[in-house]
Amino acid sequence: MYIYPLSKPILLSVLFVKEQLKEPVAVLWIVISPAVTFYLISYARISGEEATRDYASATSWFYAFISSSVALFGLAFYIVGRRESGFLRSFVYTRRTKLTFLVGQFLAYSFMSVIYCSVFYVLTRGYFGSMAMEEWIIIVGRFYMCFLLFSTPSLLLTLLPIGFQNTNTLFSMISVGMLALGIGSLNTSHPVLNVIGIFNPMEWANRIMTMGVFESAPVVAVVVGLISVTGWLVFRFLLINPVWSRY
Amino acid sequence: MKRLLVDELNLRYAQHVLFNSASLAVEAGAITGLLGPNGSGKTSFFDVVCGLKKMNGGKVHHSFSKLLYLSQIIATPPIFRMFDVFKMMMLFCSDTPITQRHALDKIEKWSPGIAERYREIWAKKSSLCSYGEKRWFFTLSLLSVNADLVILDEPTAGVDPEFRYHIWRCLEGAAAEGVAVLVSSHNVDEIVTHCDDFYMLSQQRFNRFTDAEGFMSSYGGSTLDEAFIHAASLPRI
Repeated sequence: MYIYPLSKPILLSVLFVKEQLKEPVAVLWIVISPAVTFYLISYARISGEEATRDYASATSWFYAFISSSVALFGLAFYIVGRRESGFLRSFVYTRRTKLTFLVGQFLAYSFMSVIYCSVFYVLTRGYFGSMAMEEWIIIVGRFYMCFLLFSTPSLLLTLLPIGFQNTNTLFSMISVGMLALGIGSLNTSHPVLNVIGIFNPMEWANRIMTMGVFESAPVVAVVVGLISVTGWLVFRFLLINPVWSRY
Repeated sequence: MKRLLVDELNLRYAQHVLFNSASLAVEAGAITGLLGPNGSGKTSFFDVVCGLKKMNGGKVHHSFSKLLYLSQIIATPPIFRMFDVFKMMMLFCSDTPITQRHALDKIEKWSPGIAERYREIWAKKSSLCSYGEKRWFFTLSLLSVNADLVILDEPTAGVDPEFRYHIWRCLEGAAAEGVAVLVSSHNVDEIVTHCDDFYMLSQQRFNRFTDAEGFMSSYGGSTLDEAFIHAASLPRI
């Protein structure tokens, strides 16, 4: 009986994953669209030199982008969706249920992030040669760290009192903005873009994907610290009532 | 005896005063009704009791060990069948695992003949359930949890007479087992018929009644609805 309260977030995360997998269009779109984009870019380069590049550096921006999408449109957007649908208002109104909900949601999307990463790996690795278990584990580790990195701003954005549609627009703008600024700063030495790059999580994620978790130790330390503080903040200030509600 | 005591409650919403020294009591083993016009503060009051909203003054105290609250808004993931919704609900509401068998045993005891309908909805996709079916399913499932204070915000709104009948039978069954039930409704007749006592929210206070005659004579109405209208139209203090 003592195990049941502790197992609640895990049981809840299983239900959340089941819910996700029952809506395959969204799942497929997050992972298929970057893979298709990857092959289109590779095809446009024609020379085929992409295939001779190192896999990690050739795909790092794609992994960074997918991890940001999982954090924004999976982890955070579903929290907003559950709030705006009234689900939180119905059940999540005590400290205990808030903790169960947030941990369950985080576990569910931690699992989903590994799935997204693995599917992209399978879809793209063949272009560069054969797959390897050791490489897959390294990439999943890096990807999960990127997911944690993007989870901090994503979770903080759920605290804004904005409705479902506006949240979707805001998240899309942030996602595209981070990617555009990250890639835009690649071949330029413009000081403004360099300064923006320091604060652009997409660049941090790209660095983690290319260099590795241990090699990016300072960034990883900041990520772990920030996600811990963010977890507490979201637990403390989680909005329960839908924005459209008068309560 | 376990009870919920609200003493001299003051609550404001922007410049609007909802409660001004309002007091109320709910005892274990009783169904207490709450009547009030739209916008009078019934839901806000439930939010205060459940700690969702801060009060501006007064005291709210209860000695119950487990409080459950079913709000007006009921949203379920449309992709799920109701048994998954049940599982999700129990993860939030119950401290021990609750099975379909457990829920059925309880509600069948309170309202015999109900089990088959419950099983039908149990297997139904959430998106295909009507609002009334969801409210009925939620209310009965919630009652099967071992809570000793249950707060229900308009559980019979949008529910057909058959389901409404079963909801009240189950509320009475739960109360007979010692559960304290606080329930709001706009249907004066059902509150007067089924509740041990009830409060009319008028002039920013709770006014307690135990029968229809007392309610009608207090507000000068020849029918329950007329008395309600008179009570609702009294000037604010």
